[in-house]
Amino acid sequence: MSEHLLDVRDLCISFVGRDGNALEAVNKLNLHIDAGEIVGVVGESGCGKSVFAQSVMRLLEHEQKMAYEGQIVFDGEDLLARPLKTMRKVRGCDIAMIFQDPLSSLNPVMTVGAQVVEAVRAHRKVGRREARNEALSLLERVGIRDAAARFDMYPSDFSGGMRQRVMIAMALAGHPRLLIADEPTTALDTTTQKQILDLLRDLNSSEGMAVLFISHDLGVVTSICSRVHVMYLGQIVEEIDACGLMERPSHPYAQGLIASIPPLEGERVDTLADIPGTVPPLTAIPCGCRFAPRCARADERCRAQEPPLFAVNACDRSKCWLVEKGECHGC
Amino acid sequence: MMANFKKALANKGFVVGGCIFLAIALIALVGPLVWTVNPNAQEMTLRLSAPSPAHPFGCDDFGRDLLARVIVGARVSLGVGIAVTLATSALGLVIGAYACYNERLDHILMRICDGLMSIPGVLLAIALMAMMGASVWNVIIALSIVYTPSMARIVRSRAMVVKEEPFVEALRVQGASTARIVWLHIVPNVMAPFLVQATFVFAEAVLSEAALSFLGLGIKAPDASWGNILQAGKNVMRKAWWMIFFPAAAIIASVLSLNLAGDGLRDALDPKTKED
Repeated sequence: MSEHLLDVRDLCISFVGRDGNALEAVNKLNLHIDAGEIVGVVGESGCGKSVFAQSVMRLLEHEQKMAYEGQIVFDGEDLLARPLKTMRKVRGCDIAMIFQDPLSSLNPVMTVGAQVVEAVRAHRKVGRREARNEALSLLERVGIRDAAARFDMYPSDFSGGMRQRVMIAMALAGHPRLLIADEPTTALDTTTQKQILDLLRDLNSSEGMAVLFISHDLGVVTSICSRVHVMYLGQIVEEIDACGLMERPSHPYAQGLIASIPPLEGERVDTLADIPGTVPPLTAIPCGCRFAPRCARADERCRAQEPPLFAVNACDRSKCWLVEKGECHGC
Repeated sequence: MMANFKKALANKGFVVGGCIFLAIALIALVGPLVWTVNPNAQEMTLRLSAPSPAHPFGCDDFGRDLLARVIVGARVSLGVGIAVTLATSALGLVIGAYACYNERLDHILMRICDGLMSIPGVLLAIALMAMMGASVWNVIIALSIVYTPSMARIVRSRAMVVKEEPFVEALRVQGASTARIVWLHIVPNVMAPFLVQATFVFAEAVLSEAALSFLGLGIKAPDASWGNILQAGKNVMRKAWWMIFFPAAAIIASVLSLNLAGDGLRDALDPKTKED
């Protein structure tokens, strides 16, 4: 069987409308995470990265009719084959998740301490006092100073960074082996962002917890992840190690993303580089290579035929015909 | 919640309304112990006698002491109000909370609510009373049926908003069950509009009970209620103003105080009026 902790194979995710029409948000996604690894997924808004993250937890099915193909194998078991009702046992226990908006991810009318206690008691039958002690040590573990004094405060008394720490403490309560972090630092300022990233890195190395890190921030992703997947319109177009992403991206989309980062040094530029056009809606996915209409180097074949994920070298892969021709400037 | 309570206490309307209402409730509660005149004792020589030291509110057309009857009427009116508010709150909370989490149930329950709400409240209450017959319990049942739909609607609409908050998804991610999410996390977030609506239901129930009794469909004589004292008084209005004035003043005072308190509570609990 698979030795990966999480092994996603040929995953297609579609939203099924009331009229029965399916709208495909993620197409043939392959991704694996080993125990103790931090893996990133980057992409623009609407590229399907959050849909993918929520599908691993099978959260969307509570609100919406979904259609899945492929497999999401966690620890040797296909999560998609599980009845939805039993997903509760996986959530929080094996896989935990934190979200983009820590400001509204806590119940505003319940004290912070009570919410962490609830998370602790959700997975194990422990007494009130023991749960309280564990909640306190969790809060201290994630770097909330003076946790005992802050235990009975409400979320509105906490700053954004502190709330995200509380979310992480709650996620840790079930001792998960995989943490899905869906843009955990997007709503935070840069100093807080760095602290949260340091915390995640520290938890990763000390507890051996694997992290699936989802972000649109290339800088953040390359600083924390070992491997990065670049997504465009529901597909992974590039898989590369984190250092390589900045230096030798092979897919024109990844190159475009990196070129559009405003330079911090040197002369001030008047117009920032960008990728022409916009992400097309899911109802009008171009045939051939999905990026072709926005790609400066696209030719006839790109517009007609979808490229496979070519291996660029031992570990990097890129979904672009240029790789086959040996023309991408990464190789 | 503590902060909200403090904010409510800083609101003039809430404090004034609350104090008047508490005073009325206190009178209803301990009044009969202090003013020990029998509200049903008839004294024919005192028929329609004007207010005097012996009978501060005067006497009615059977020579019964009006003060004693208004106090006993307060027990009935506020008792009906409390019972209707409790029943409406419980039903409204359960219906609203379930409706927000079960789409099919939502459609069924909300169509029933729409149907009930499309009939004017007093008319519906009159029809129900005509069906069930006049008694205190039937008044409570009829008014609960009349006011539950609006309560359920308010709980549901707020719960629908709270349900979309990211913290509900965060709870799901932790493996919380739907029942836990609804009752422990969504319901406490619905409390603000729920409490405000409860004060209004209370006021309206007092008013509707008086209306039903006035029409002869609620509390039957010789039992006293503000509504049926008014009903008896309307025939002798020109000769004995006190028959109308005192029960009407009691109704106005209690309804006004409850509405004041409810408005104040709404302002205090509304996050939009937070900083001013």
